[in-house]
Amino acid sequence: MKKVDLIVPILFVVALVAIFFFHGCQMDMVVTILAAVVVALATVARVVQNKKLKQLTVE
Amino acid sequence: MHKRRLQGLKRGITLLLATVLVTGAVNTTALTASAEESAADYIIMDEELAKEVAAAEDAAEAAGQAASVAETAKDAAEKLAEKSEEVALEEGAEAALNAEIDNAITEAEANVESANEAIEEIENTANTQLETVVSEAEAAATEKLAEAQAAADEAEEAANKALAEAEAAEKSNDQFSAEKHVKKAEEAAKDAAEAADEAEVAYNDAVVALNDAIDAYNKILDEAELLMANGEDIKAAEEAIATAQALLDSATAAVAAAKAEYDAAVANSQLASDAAITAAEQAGIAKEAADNTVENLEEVKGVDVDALTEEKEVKEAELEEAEAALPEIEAEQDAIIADAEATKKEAEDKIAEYDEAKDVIDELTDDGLTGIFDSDYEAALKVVNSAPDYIKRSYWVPFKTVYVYYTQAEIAEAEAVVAQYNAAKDVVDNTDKAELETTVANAKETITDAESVKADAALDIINKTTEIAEITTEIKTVTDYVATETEVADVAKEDSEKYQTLLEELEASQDAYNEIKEDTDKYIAAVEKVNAWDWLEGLFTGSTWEKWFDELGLEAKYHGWTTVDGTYVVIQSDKDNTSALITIREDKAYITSIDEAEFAAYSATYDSISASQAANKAAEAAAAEKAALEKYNAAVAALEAAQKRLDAAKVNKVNLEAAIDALAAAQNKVDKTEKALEEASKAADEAEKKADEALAESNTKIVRAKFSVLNRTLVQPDEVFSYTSENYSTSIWGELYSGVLNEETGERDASYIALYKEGIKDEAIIPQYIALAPTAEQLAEVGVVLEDYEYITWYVIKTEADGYHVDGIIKGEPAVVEPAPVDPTPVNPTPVDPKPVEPTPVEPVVDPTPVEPVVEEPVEEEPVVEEPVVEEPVVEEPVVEEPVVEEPVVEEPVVEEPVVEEPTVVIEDEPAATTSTIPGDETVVIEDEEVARAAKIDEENCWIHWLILALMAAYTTYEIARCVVRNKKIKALSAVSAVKNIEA
Repeated sequence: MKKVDLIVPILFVVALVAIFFFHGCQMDMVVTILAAVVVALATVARVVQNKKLKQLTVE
Repeated sequence: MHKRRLQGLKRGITLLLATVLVTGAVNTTALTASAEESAADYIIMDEELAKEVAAAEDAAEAAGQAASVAETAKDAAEKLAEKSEEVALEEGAEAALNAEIDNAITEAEANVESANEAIEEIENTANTQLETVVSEAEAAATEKLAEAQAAADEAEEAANKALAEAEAAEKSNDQFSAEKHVKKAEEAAKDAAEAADEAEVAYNDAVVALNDAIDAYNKILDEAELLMANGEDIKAAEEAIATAQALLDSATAAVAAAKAEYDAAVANSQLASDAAITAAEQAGIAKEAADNTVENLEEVKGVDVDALTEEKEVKEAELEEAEAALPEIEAEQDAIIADAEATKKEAEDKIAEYDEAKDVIDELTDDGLTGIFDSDYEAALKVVNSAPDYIKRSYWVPFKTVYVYYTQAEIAEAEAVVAQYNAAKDVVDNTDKAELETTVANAKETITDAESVKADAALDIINKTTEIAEITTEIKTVTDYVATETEVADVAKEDSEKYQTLLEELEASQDAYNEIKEDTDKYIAAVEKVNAWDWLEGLFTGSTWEKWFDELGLEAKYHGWTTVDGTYVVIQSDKDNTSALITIREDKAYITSIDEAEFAAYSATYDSISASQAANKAAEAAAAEKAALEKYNAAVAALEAAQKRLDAAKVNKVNLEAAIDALAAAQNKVDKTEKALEEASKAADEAEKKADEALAESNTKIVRAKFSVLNRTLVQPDEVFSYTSENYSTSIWGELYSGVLNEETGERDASYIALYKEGIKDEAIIPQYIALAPTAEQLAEVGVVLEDYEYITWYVIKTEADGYHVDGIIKGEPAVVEPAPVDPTPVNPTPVDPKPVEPTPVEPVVDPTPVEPVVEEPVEEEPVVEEPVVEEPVVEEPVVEEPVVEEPVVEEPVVEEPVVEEPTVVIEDEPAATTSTIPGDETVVIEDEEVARAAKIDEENCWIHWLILALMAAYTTYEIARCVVRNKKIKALSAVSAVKNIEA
């Protein structure tokens, strides 16, 4: 599942980049910032939760 | 003990031999530089040595070059002297000029004299012929000059007039009056041009006359020259001059060439000498060594080299003798030592025997510490003395004596002891120990003496060797100094060759070092570790392969070198002391070559020698130069004198100076004629130019026109026609436009002027030409008082003798006003005006066209739209409003009024019609296609944004879901963990 958690955000970012590219390389600033925030928050949450899970699993 | 003594002796001998060897080695190394010492002390790659080598090379090369160049200079000087001698036989004397040249010049002088007489005759004939021709030409030139000047004056006068008129035109305020002045200016310019044409004709005539004269002159001159060319005397003279000049030129050129060669050689010699001196100075090693030798000389001043040499020879002979005698002495002394050793040994043996016998006696006679017991000898003697009964002891018993006898064994033992004692006693008694000890001492002394003799012989050799070495050093120091500072020429040839050999070998070593150093750097670079990426990249760029090949190549190249503790040693050459030792330690290469001091000494010596040789050559060259220069100066003086003579002997030209002067005077007059022509042309051009400028200027002037109004009751003429002035009101000055407005420049062209000349009678278009019409007040002042419903129609523009005129006619009828019971504001009582209305019917000429749209609009729209009409000066407002409702027909002329009265309306219309072309109008024109595409993009944007938002929503949802799942899992595991903890 961890791999899926890694692949999904990568696919999301790739998809966004592809859309921006085909859109004429015009980055929509608001959408970009929003996407970056979402990805960052999701990554932080995933890392923190995985760490906790690992800790509990070991115990 | 004996052995200990022997060992001490051996050690002493070994030490002595070692001392001899070391001293010999030291002395040997002092004589010549040793390879071992060089290798030990100079295993360095010192840049200083390299520099010294380079400096010494440079110095030697520069000195050699200087000598060579000095030699060349000397040769050049000699050559110059030789060439100079060919020209001047004796120094500084003109008479000594080379006989061939002298004869040629003398012959030329004689021929020239006879030739000049013939030329004089020809000259006289030609001058007579030219006299008439030239005087005619001069007269014609004078006449034409006068004509041209008169024409020029006329042109000038006309030009001035044109200028005055042009100025008047410029000063005029009015276009019409300016134009009059311009016409006058143009006429004056025309006059000036005609005058200029007259001047040109005069000039052309003068030129023709002059050319005729020149042709005649040339013809006469050609004839004279033909006569001269055919003259035998003249030909002979010219040939003689040419021959002499050729000889002279040839000699001069030869001397000049030799001089040039000489100058170049001298300059080169000087440069080379300077370079040699500089190089010798820069060869620091030479300077330093020279300084050292000077210091050394100070120390050994007063030393007699000859005495030292003689002493050295004596010492060497003695040394040789001593070395020859040494083996004999050593053999003799060895024999003595051997005899002494034998004697000493015998005596020592006897002493030992005596000591041993003495020991035996002492032992046998020892009766112990107390002395109360018999010694062994005494006991044995008792037994022996008891013979023959050998009764040991007896004791008495009652009545009888009992005897105890010795046993046979006791008797035998006792006899043996006594015999041993007696034997020892015999030895002691028969031996003289003191004598024996003296013998040993004597033998020892003999040995010592023999050893001493041997050591003295060896020491003598050592001392002599040392002394010879010292003398050699002293002699060498002095010799070096002498060679360096004084008798440089006395240095032996083989020493010079040795020095060159040293230098060459050092150069070879240097080259070898450089090669190895480069290879070392290359190898280090080749085996340098690189990261994997760079290595892979190098497979494509080639660097990896290159490094690999470098590494393999260098390993193959240096395969087989001996290795000592990580030090690679290469023996470059193996010749006595000059072997080059090249070592590589770690990543550095080192070189050891010849002994530096030896090299320095040679360098100092031979750099000086080379410089001295160069200086000597230069001095020789200078001496040769001095002699050559003296001869050269003599030759130059002789050549100059000869050239003067030859220059004096010139064949005269035909002298036609008088004719030439007359022609020049005529030419001068023609030139003046030309100048007058130029002035006339200039004046004409200027006048024309001014006239043109004035014309152009006049077109920019204000076009003033007299505006007159036709008296009432008079009919407007159909054509451009005027009544007499009584039929018009007094004229009022107004203005007309000069031409079409150029919107870019803001100026008007003068295109309307021609129309005004023709006359314009179309009253519909006349307002567009009027710039400033008289106002109602101005008209009133001249008696033209208009009723409120009246207006002026300017119906003609024409040109009269006094300028432009614009005639107008009063138009307008009182409106038929019906009572307006509802309207509380009958502002204008005009309709009630009892003044007789102009009977002239309203002309249908009045253009109704502009009226129509104005009429249409108020009908369709609300009456309020008519408000702008109120702005018009004619107060027709109530009249307008009313008819709109009731009588639209009546309205027409009323509404037309502002259009006619305000000429500016026309002008305003123009920009209105071209609004889209006004510069600065930034209206963006969007084509239909682009609009469609923009809409499409907007549509796509919208779609893409939806897609992005959907994607983000999906991703966000997924992440939230995953977070929730993980959170649940965490909670579950936390609970399990808590339970475990509780259980624990």
